[in-house]
Amino acid sequence: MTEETTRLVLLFQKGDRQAFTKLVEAFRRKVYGLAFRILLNHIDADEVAQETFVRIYNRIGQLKSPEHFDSFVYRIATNYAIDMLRKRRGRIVAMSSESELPGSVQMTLSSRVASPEKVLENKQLLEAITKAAEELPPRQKATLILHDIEGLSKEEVARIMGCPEATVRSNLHIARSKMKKKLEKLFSPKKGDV
Amino acid sequence: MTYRHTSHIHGDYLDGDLSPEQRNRVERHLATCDECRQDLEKLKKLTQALQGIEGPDPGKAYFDSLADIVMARTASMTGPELSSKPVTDRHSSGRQVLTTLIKLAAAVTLLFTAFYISDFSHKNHATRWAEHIGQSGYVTTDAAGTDEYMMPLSIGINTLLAPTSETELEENPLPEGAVKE
Ligand SMILES: [Zn+2]
Repeated sequence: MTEETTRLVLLFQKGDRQAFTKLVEAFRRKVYGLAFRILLNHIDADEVAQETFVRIYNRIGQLKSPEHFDSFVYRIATNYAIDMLRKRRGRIVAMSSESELPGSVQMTLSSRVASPEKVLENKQLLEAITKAAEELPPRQKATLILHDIEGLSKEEVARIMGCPEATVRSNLHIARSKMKKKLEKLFSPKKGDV
Repeated sequence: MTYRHTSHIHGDYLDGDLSPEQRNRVERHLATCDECRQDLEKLKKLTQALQGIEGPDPGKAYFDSLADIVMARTASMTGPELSSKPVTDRHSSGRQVLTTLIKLAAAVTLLFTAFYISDFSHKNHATRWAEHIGQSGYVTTDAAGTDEYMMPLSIGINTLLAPTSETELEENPLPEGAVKE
């Protein structure tokens, strides 16, 4: 985390609302992006984003190490998103494998090769990944997203999830194994593959 | 092959989290075991695909309105746990909305101009965006299931993280402020 962020956190803890505004602006995309990846729809992600910042505002006094503000933010957002995910289980999720993922609010899979075949392949892969991830238990899903998609270290994920690193390691291993199994066909070596 | 299978540590191998000895053991095993080589290859493809997922972008107008709403919602808050509910239609029957609406009146006036020039309707934050997404066909059932969004905001953090799945490793969380060093 940058020194500027730590400085803003300290000001915010002293009651500076302008510093809070700047922190919201600095973290809003991260929070929304994480919530969207966990919940896969805009309305829920929007609720998580709003509520995360309101909670941060109310709980900033509890943060003992301002230099860990980013973990604090991720933790509040992840907790809220996981809870929503649990409440949502049992409801039908609209994003079926056939459904399009159009519009501006969607995830994309970056493609290194721009051939139409590759684009189609990526689209199928993203849909398969999304579907497989939806079936993971919430904390495994969150661990996978934080580590493998957000690119956070196991230590950071442990701090966010409030658990030992060993648990992150186990949850990650189980989540990846399940995903690998579900995506077996897509990942099996094909002729002409590298 | 000389050692037992190494698939249980392939993740740590890819993440670079193994000791030099463990790394060495995996590599020596991989040289002799087809099954583990294939497993590692699949894992590599999975992690590469996950790393390649790019975040959604609802646009600058959305993020600006998000910041405005957060600032409006926190405007009159002085202490902890005074959280009002998210500003969406689905809470419109809640009693907190009345007070929230009063707090928001000024902000809404300011936001109106911005909303007006965009092609969204003037209903509310979430609905507007749902419609925006809906224009391109991506609407979740969540948009319709309004009441299911209600959740007690006074809910304790331990309740939030209460384990519900027996297949999942769970740990008792620390309070949110107690970020581990
Ligand atoms: Zn083997």
